[in-house]
Amino acid sequence: MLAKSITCGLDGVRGYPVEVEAYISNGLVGFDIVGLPSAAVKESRDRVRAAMLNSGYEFPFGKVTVNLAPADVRKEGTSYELAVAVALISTKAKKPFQNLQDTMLLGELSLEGKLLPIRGALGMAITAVENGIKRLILPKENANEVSCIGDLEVYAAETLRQVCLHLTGEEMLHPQQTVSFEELQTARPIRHDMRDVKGQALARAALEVAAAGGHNLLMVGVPGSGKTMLARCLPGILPPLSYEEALETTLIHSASGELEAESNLMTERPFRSPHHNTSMAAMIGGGAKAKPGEVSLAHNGVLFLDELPEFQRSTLEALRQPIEDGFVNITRVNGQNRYASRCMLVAGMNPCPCGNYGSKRKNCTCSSGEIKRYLGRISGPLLDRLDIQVEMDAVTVEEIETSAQQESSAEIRERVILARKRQLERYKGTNIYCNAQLDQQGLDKWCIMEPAAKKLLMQAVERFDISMRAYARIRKVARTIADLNGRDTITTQDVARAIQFRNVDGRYWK
Amino acid sequence: MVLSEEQKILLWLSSAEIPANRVWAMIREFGSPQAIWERFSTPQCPKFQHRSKKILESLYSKEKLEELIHQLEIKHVHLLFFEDEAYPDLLREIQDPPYLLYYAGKLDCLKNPCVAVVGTRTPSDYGRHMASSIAKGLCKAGVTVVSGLARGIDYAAHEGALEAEGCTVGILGSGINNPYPSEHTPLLRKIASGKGLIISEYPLDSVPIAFHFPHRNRIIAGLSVGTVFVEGRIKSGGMHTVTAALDQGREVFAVPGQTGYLGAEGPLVIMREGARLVTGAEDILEDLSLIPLMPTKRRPKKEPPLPLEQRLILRALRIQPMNIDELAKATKMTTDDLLTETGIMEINGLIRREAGNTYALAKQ
Repeated sequence: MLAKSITCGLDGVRGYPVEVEAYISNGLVGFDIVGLPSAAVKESRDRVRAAMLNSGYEFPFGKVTVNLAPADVRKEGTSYELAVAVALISTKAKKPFQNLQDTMLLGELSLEGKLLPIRGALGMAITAVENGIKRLILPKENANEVSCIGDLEVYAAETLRQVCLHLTGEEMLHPQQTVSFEELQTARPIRHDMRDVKGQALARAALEVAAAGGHNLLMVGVPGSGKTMLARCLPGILPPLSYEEALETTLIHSASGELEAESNLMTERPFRSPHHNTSMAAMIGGGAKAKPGEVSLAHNGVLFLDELPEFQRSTLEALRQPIEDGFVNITRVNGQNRYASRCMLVAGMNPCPCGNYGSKRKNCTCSSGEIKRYLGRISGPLLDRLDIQVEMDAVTVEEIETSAQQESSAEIRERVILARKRQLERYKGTNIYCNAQLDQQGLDKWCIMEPAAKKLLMQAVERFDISMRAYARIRKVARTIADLNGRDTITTQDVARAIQFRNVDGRYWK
Repeated sequence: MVLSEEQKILLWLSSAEIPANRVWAMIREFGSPQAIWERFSTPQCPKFQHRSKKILESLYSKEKLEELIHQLEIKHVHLLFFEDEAYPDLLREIQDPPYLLYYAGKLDCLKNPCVAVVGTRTPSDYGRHMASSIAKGLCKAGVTVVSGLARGIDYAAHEGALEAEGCTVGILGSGINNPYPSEHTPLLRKIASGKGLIISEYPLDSVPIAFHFPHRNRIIAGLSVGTVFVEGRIKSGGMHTVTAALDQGREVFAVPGQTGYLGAEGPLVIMREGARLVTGAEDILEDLSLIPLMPTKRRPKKEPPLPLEQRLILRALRIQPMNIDELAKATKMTTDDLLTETGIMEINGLIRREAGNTYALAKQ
């Protein structure tokens, strides 16, 4: 007796369809899964048998062989279990199972016959649509995740029995409503609002410009100056995710099992703040299965590295390429994966080991050698990628008490959205999408300055001894400030403000 | 380099780092350097420390000394003896002047009046700025700036002098071949290859030992008609240089700082005791009656008046340095406007930014 069902495997963030074939023959009683199953898939034999028995189905008597095709790809994970169980039940079913050839079955089984959530449901659903599969049955916890996918009938089930009754037509499940992306986007409260940031006008301005131009940001300041707080505000002032961006980001989170149960497509930009002992593989992606790293999980969002000099140097250096290119290729024995990693890098650090160098209120107790060694952990090439650099001092209690009401994130965000729109229009037809990505040619083509602005910038170059790279950075930032002000050419005002965000590397890294 | 017998013997003593007071005492006792050389192999040999004695023994032959002189020539390090005409007269006057100095660079620097600029190795931005601007001002008036090549204030003073393309003299607490701190080697090169001069009392490869530094401070003070103490605590190397300057009867100046700030302690204390307060290089030039060698200021060109916003900012900063939030409160301007104006003013050199993004007047 032969029966088939369809399920899906996961490769990186994308799925690939897997056909489950169950064959029962006479012979020595046994249960085998073939088709390069990993240890977790092999173990599933016991779960499948127990789940079937506990759901009131008989386990077929005889020699049971289950094949997972294509047979030359290694199968990882537990998402095949439901399809295996259904294929086995259908060999002995009293009523025939309908539509098995175009229904994708996803889910892990518990011993009592319940469906447990899986990783990568979104990627698998997309694979289903791409392969012309019309129906998808998956655990209830994963249902919201795929609710935005059209052209697919989605059924959320809780137990194996429900799935079987649905397939025989005895007790049909209700197909899940497709939710439009716009519906998801409404009414999201901003968790960290800029309104609550007191003082720090320069840092606020820096954050706004960084958000508007997609610039990477470095904040240097004494402990308690609000670096972390400001960084957390950043997702709230970035433009909302577009559908494509949301899909890309959710795919990565779904594949790495970072999504919470029953969560929808992500509508908020991710904010990742890995601890400074994070290894290189965890940051960039890797491990035996080439999983996405922090830089990919922050795709379309913010990667915040607090205490930048405390990170291992190799980890930081490895970040350079993904930040620059917007993707990272992970190659391991078991295969190669390419993960998107288009994120804004925001870094926070103290100016010296004791933290008080440059503070007006406390004395620094570090020797110049100590400070030099501390700062030396950040390499020049990495600094060059941090377009905006801003220094902060602590805000006193008095200042907090007396400070006026500040602008809210929503107001700032509107300006940011407008500035981003101007950039998208300007860079239409190129692969650039924000000012931070401008290269030398782009700078010459799009960063057009008024003569007076150019003169001012040349004066600045002379006075502050600005390097060629810093010069390019200032022009990029000036371009963004002009965009925020709705100007096509860069004026003296824009240059003067851009100059304010230059200084840190000149002062500390000599 | 051709040296007289006497000079060779002094070089021999210097190689073992026999201190100046000891050498002068021995010369007084025995009559001449030759007498020391002759007595060395006899039972009447004066007592030396074990380490010094070993070095003296190892070099106790004229051939070895010739070799040493050859080494100095290879490294382009010259010698200046107390008897030499070029030996600065001011230094001759101090107690136990060095009997031998190693130097690299232009001795002519010492013909100009010299002023020492000294202070802490961990200065504030203000201190660094003052040291550098005072050094610049002095150099422009043809004064040579003397300092100790250390980190912090010393570095700022030398850099300021180099920026003004003036003469500067650096005095090391270690051998010229082994400068401390080593990261200042580029600075040393710049000074020695330009108009400046590097001096050390210690032999070529001498290591920096803690007691060398207070010892070399007497040379810093000794070379100079006046010493400017920019920043430093009560117990510090800068204070030591000031004491040496006072012992030698030289003028002492202090740069005022904020009370309560540790780095301002030293200058404020000596000010109370009578040191001259300086706010810039002009004060020093005036007090020492050094007429600037450069043509005096031409009447400044009438510059167009500053925009109102910039004048407001300047007025606020005249009270004290402020960050952007405080400026916004003081000038009632929006932060956007302030960012623009302070940016332009910084580029134009009207104000400068200190650590922690505080704006301060850039007094030139």
